[in-house]
Amino acid sequence: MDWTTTNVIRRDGEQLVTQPRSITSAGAVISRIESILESVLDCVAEGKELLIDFATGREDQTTQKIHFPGKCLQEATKFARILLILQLAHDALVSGIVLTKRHIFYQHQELFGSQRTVDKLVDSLALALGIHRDELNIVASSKGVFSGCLSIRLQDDRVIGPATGDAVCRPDSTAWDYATNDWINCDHKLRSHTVDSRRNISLFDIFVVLANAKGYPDILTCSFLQLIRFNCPQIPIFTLVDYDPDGLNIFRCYRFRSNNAIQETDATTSSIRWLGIKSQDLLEYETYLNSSIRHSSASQQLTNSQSSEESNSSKTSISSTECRDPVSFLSTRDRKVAVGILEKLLDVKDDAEVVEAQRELQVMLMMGVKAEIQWLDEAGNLTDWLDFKLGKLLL
Amino acid sequence: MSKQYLTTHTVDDAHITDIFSLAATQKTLLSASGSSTLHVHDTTDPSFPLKQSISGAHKLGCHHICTSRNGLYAASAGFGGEVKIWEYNKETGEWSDGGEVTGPTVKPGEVWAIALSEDGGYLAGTTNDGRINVWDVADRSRAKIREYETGSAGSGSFGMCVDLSRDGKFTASGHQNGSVYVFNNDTGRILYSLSGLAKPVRAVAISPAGTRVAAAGDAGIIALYDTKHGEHVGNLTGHSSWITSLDWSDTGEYLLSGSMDGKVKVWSIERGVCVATHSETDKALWAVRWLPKTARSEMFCTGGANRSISFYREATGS
Repeated sequence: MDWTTTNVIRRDGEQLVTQPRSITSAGAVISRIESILESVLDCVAEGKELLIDFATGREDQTTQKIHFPGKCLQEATKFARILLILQLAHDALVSGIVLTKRHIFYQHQELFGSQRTVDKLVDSLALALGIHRDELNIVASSKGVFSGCLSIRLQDDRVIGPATGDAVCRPDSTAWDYATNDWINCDHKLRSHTVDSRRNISLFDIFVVLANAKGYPDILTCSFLQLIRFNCPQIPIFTLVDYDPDGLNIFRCYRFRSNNAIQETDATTSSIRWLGIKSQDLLEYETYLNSSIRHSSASQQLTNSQSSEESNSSKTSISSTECRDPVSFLSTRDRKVAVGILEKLLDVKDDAEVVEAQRELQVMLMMGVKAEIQWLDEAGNLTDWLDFKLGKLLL
Repeated sequence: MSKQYLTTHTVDDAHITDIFSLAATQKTLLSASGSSTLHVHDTTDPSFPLKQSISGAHKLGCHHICTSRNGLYAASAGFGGEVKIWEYNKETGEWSDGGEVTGPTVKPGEVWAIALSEDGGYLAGTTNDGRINVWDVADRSRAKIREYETGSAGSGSFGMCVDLSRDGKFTASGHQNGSVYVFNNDTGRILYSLSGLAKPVRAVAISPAGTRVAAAGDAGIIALYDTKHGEHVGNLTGHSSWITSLDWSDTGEYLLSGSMDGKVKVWSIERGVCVATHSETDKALWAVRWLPKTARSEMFCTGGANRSISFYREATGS
């Protein structure tokens, strides 16, 4: 894969690859959103009730208006939610970054309440604007990400590689959706090529599985992993899961495929490694933050002033609503689940990763805290942390 | 004036996993870890040899162990939710199984931190929902004799730590939401609800004379309260990480504290300052304990994520 042929935006001295898509359509969406936001501002200036009017600029659309404070609490809440999504979509479009619905949820968990609310709102927002969801630079949450010189031929003979797979992130055809079940929506693009050049490990392809709360391995994911293991056994596979009992259970499932098939530990799955989040990551996070600040400031000096301005603006705009601290306390249920997994792990012998999982569960119970993957990232961007972590693991 | 402590001995890899809890008697040190085995080290010998290994004590590992002050009883709480009593045989110098605290009052998740009374007759344990239960463990029936609520029924904050005063008058508990409670054991009522730490309280300790309660946790400071009026009488500051463990010296002059960054500190209560800081490791310390004072100089020990037990002795003749 030739990285230089794709559109490249320099950001913090690292390469972000964007898909070659027409600027005008993004520009049109941006101006639509801006005009909506401007009309909200006008309302503020005139001291009127705030109003988001999706009919703006569209005659064929049934008028849909949402007021603030509106008639009831629900309407006020809906207004706030839509405003936040519009703002995030706008920021994402301007800076050429792709957001996942999951990421939007984690921008303000209290406001949205549930992931489902976000999913519905994003879809109806796209509908109201008369565009496809992808055109808002918002995609479904991914199950995983791969990086490196790997291309996959789909059933419809389309070939995807890291360049199309990563920043494109948008299944243009239903065939893709169908074939991969949103598997490679690589919102969290891993810059393995930069790791490669730094660490001189260019022969490695890196494969990362990102799992979330509902991320128990499905058949498709497992068969995909099996395909990789079979065809390219040299590719390391990592699991990144939440630091909570469910997260560890997901890892356990990936490692042993199912609750009851522990004896089936074979070459196909045993090399799935556990990337995190581990208790040490929680304790080390400050160290990581310091090193990443040093790293980004050093690399910024290397880039020209214009692009570093761009990087700054993209960073500040996208993090304009910072993630809430997702480190939270274990619930009674969490503790029960943790003990249940400890019991299940008793049957496994001589597996270093399992010994570590046991330890992590015990330490989790001792510390009494859990942390979601979102806790690690900077407003939805895990790449720095992944570089840091994988760089250490593959050194 | 600072105090000098020297590492006299380290038992490397005392356990195969993290050491989560330590409990000392006059002659022995009991250690509990993520493995199913409890260890007993002989503290009368300068090389602290392993005297006894109790295998299969807690199959999922053990997170808390404590002893009665008279040195005759111990209790341990496992990750599986079970609580066991251990009895010391003075003749053989070994610990033997004294049975489980079972029955409908000990459901899984019902017991986290534990503490034994001076004579080993009573065991206090914290629960998920913030209650503190007290069992009569001297009697084989092991009946629950007290249940303290710290919130409206069933909705209290996770009880992370508990301590009993030597005279048996008070029970103190520390909770995840930062609250500290002191109970009057005679009346069975809450005596004080002490706030101020705001973050999880991972350790509470009542001073030997029963006049002070020390509490510490994620806030990184040790708060001192008096038990007479429930007043906040001072803070000890200096740790830069979560404080996991506290222990008063025999005389009540010094307080020992351990934290997640591997640092153990000795504090002078009279002067309100840290008089010694040690760190053998940068990994978490889960437990720090004074050894009951014998003829030799003052000693303490630490255990944690590096799986070793380090023993420290006060440097004399300065």
